[in-house]
Amino acid sequence: MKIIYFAKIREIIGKKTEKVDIPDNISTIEQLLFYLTTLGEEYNHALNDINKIHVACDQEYVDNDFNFKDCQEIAIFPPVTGG
Amino acid sequence: MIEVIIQEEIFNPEEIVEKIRARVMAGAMVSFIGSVREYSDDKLQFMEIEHYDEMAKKIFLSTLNQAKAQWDLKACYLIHRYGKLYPNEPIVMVVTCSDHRKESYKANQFVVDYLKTNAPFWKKEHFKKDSKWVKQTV
Repeated sequence: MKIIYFAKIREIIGKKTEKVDIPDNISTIEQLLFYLTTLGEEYNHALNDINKIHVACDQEYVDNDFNFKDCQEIAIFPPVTGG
Repeated sequence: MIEVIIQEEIFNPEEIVEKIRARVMAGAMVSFIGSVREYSDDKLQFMEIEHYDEMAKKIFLSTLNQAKAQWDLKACYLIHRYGKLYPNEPIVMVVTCSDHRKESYKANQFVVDYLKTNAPFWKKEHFKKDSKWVKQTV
């Protein structure tokens, strides 16, 4: 699964994008975020507060209970500050 | 007319107004320009804006189409920059045109409010000694 990180989350994890092998039993965004926090201290630091994280699948906002299995691209980012 | 532009280069708001006026016959035009503020806790050197291009384009187009339909606009135009920006430079401009002023005012505010909370852009302020990501304030 292709995952893209933005802004502060990108900085903390230290990667802009990566391919992640996700176990079959993980299907919702909430499960995915928890799984990612187990990949290392930097992931845990960047993603531990689920309330401050937004997720988009194929460029559409999704909720934590969304099933992402059919998505091509998942983006994970903090609250936006454009404009 | 609906147009969305996302670019790194600086833009000239007066040229944009004239460009739209040349293309659209409308009784009312409202423009909003958001610029880089110099003041914060410390004197700002420059601002960096990161963005998610494909998603930003999708959100801008759907928001402008929604505004055009809801307020019967003659034109809805949005330009947003990314990259390195200096104090007082324009970041974003939204222009709405309609037969009467109320529709343009309402639609313009709707588009700006929506992009502030939904468009995938992130600002980082750089000061002399440090830098920090801007927190969302709605």
